[in-house]
Amino acid sequence: MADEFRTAQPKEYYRKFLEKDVRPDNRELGEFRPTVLNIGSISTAEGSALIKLGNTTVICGVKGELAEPKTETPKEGYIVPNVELSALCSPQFRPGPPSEQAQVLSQFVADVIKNLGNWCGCSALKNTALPTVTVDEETKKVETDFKQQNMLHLSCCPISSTCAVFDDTVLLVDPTSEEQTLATGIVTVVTDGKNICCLDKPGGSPLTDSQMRTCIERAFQRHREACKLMEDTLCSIDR
Amino acid sequence: MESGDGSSKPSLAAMTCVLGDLSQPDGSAELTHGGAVVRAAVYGPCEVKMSKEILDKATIEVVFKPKVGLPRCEDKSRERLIHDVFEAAVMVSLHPRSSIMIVLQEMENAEGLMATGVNAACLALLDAGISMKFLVAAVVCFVKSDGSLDLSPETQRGQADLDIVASLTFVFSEKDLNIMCVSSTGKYSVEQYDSCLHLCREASKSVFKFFRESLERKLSKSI
Amino acid sequence: MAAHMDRIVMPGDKICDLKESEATRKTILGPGLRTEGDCVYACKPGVLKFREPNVYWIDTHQKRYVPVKGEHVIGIVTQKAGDIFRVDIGGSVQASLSFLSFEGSTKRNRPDVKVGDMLYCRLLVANKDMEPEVVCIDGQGRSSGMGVVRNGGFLFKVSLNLVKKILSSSCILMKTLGQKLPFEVVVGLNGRVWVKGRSNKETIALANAICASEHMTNEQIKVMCQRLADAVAGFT
Repeated sequence: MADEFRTAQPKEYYRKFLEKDVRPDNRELGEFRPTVLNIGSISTAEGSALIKLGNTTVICGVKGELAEPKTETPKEGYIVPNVELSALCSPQFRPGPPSEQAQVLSQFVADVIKNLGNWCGCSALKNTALPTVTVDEETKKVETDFKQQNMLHLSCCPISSTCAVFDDTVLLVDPTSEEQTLATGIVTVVTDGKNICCLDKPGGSPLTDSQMRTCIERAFQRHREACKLMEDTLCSIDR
Repeated sequence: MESGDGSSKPSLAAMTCVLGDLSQPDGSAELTHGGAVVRAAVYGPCEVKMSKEILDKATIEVVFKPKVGLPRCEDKSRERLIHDVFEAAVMVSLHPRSSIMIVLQEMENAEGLMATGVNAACLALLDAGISMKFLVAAVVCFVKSDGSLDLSPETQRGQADLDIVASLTFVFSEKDLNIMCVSSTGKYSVEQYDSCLHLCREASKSVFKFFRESLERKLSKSI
Repeated sequence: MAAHMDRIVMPGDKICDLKESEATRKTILGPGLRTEGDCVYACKPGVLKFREPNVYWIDTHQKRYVPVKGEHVIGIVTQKAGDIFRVDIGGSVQASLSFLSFEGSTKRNRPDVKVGDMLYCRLLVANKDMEPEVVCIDGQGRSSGMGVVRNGGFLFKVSLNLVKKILSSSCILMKTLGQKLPFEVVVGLNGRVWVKGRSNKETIALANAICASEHMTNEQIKVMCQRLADAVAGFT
């Protein structure tokens, strides 16, 4: 019965849950989905990471290559982020050339990376359709002497977190894809612990200052949690 | 639109606009704000492609054309932002199964192109007489390396200001001046975010005033 | 009430103190106004107008036509599909027109309408959820001026405001032009105007005069018509 109700009246279904301050997947409004992180899962890449956030899985690989620098920035390298939304992942994605959503996401990742200063191999990954994943990764910079490889230095470690606005008033942290389609607005905040790296709220229902502040505070909190998880994972690899 | 009181408070650069100068579209506007110039055209409500048809509301299509070359990822993310802003502002449920198309052409690129684009699109929609729930205005704020804030940096044409470490574009709805949209580049602290928000909110009032004045000029002539 | 009259409003403006009719305690809201809760908001930029006892609406400058039931429009036949013609009336969707909606037409006696023909017709069905339908007969089954418009002439598009201005009883444009030159004219509320003068030269002059009158007062129109008549007389 509940399933039929969910299909026929998804908004009403959610409202019933939200009245009791709980979500259909048993989370509280401000709770993230369980996160699993695995680092170095692709052996052929210079650096890689796999993140599972509930039912959303994103894998990221970093490849370093020697290349001619861009003419505008002769002393710096450059990063080409590429987000692929394969048709196997979700019925929302179609095969073929990168969709508009994939292009927008690539640009978002590029913006985040650009903010981190030059040549850091920090790659922040995000998947809006099934949202919020951030990975930061050790990469190896390729030097002219291929024998000698240095660990890449990261200037900071950005973590993103997403909030969805339901019915213009309720804030849902870390929305699932279903919640996101029902939501009237999405706010994504990327922080590095001290500063805001990127704030993205593309339209949707207008928010008050206090609602925005809640999103930002939650993002900082998330940063601490995620950093701890990342440290733990890195330690376990070293062993 | 300058505050012109000679105080050190950052003020908005001058804005000028031309409404309805294109004959083919249903509404058009060319907005100059500081160094940035964007031309916007609005068609609709008109026929929509079957694949994009939405049963209970109008489809808003946004095309952002760069000055040279083909549209890139950057332009796609601008298109998405403008689409999402106006999807909330336009009364889409009034025209189900139709399309409202917003075409933006970048004429001059300068800091704050995005904000100029949103404002130009809003003016073009007003010119077309499309029903909207509320007006929207975009204001961009820059954070300098010394931590000071600026609304209208003086940049050499075509040259990025190296002094700017971050920029925040806010879009406000006229009703209650709530935040419709934020997009930012660069790193900044939460305090800086708050002061930018405050500054932009104040500045948005003058943008709304400018919209009103432009429309009054046009309407007093035509009606 | 005077405070509201002819004031310029923008989308999202709250409109207070609307006058209610004394008998029914109701206010009639026309185009450009909407209610949200207990308040009335404008949703189009334009001039707020009021008519006794309780009717309010917003006059907007617009080019795109949105079909309204009962309005007379000029359409162009684009397709013939079985018993139905598709007619482009400038709205978001093409209107349909049954071949029986002509004066004197029966299943046997089909009207002579071809693709590309221009029609003067009336909107029978027009709402946002349905395809608009036009007819070329009135309630009594007579054509009353509607039907296919043939034999040359010139069709052009103007803004919706100009069309309303031409048709309003206070505008003297048509009367004044008619005194100077004999001509035929069809004005559709969808912003399309068809004129035909005695010669091509006159037709063009008439079309220009109509377009030019958009921002003119009655006095200016008189002067313009006089000048036009002089010029046309000089040509021929």
